Amino acid sequence: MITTLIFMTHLVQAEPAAVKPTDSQAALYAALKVREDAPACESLAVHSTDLANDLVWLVDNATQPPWVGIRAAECVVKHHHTAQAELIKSWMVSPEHRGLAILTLGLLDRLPAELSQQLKTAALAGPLADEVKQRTVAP
Amino acid sequence: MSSMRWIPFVLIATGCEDILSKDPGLGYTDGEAVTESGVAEIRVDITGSDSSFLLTADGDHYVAVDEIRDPDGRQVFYWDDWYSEPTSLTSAVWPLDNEMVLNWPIRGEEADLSPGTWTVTLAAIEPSTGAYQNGSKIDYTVQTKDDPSFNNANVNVRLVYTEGVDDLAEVTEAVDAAIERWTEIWAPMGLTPVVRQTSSSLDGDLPYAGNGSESIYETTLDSFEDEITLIFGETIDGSNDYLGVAGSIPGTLTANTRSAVVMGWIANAGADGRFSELDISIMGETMAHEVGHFMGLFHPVEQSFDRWDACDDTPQCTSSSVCEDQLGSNLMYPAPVCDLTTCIEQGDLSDVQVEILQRYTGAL
Repeated sequence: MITTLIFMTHLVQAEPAAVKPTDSQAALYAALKVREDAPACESLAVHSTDLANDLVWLVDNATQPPWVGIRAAECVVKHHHTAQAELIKSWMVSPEHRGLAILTLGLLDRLPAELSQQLKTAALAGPLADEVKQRTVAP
Repeated sequence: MSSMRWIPFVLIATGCEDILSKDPGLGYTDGEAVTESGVAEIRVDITGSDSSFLLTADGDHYVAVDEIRDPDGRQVFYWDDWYSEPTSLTSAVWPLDNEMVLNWPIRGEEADLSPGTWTVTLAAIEPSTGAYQNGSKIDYTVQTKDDPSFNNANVNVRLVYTEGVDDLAEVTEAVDAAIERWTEIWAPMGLTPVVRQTSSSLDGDLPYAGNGSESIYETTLDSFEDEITLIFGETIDGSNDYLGVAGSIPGTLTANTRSAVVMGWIANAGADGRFSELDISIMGETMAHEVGHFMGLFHPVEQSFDRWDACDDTPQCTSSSVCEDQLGSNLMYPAPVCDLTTCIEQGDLSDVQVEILQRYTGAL
């Protein structure tokens, strides 16, 4: 009886099945997790034939080490912002993606003016507005 | 006041006390040398109680160490023994810049300092041709430590927040907790980080410390001469790619353009911009890792798996899987060992790695 209870407790506490990366996602993850000398975004193409989507997968699924998602997102914003514009906009209004919103705010001047303005406007109308004002309004 | 803030408060108070009566326990000399036949000899006077010295040079041309001789004239270090080797002992052997830093001794394998005049020969090298330069001026400083024990040491660190970052409570609380993790990692090695926290008006986007920067030079001018400077901002070199960078291996305790470790908080907090317990633990490991570089440690194996440190007790593995097995828990491993959502603790150091940390002149 006790054994059964312990077993059932474990069932209740069991984590959802872990996501499994594809070979290309695993290769990107390995490349991005180093502490220093992160690879340039341009060099990541050798690991994936569907780079933008694999990077987005890492943003969504690789929470550790914390910089993997950040580095992947930076490559998405710098090099895949047209195809991923809606996704990037969603980060700007999501408290769960605060780090990505701050990252994107720092890259606005590298984006096309129209997209940059759209992202800023969305952020200013969302729950991260105070944060955005601190970082985008000139003193 | 939360308990989280209490420890740093004490440390800040200790720092204030130091300002009133600071006795760093470091000897200091400086001078200027001019190269003949491409090299200049720097004399380092060692007393009976001196246990290591830190030589910092700044030349008209690139500077690298050529050789070191003990007071009896014996050669104890020669550049060509390390220059092209796949094992790294000190970056002072490579002409990388006008600034050069050498700590001696490095490992236990190098003999302890004997009293008398040591001679360090420095080469001045033209970067574009690699040719030795005559008549090249080299300014230098020598710091010596009077600490007979290589078993226990405090490492004084001045943590400088860039403008506004010290107003972000979640960041300063995470930093405080990360310092606790760093302290826990070092404790078994007899090392204690003593961190004095200060504010600054520095821009939150920090320079890449390895490239050198006037702002690093100016910031470290305000650090005590026995303090490692750790600058904590938002980003590094306009990017979130970098979580931490050490200026050089080893780094200097006197002010130059690389005399700091820099860290950015955004890359350490991750996509959600909030510090989880694991984020904080890994940030503490990153602090210990980067300061470890600054005190002279290389990665036990580089990411290319074809270069290693000069510690004979860290295996020379040659593949990712084998290296993660053998060295994955080592503090200086180049990447954390994780599986997308969790990471193993990285707090181990080999005996020889500890020898290097304990011999750093700033370990008092």
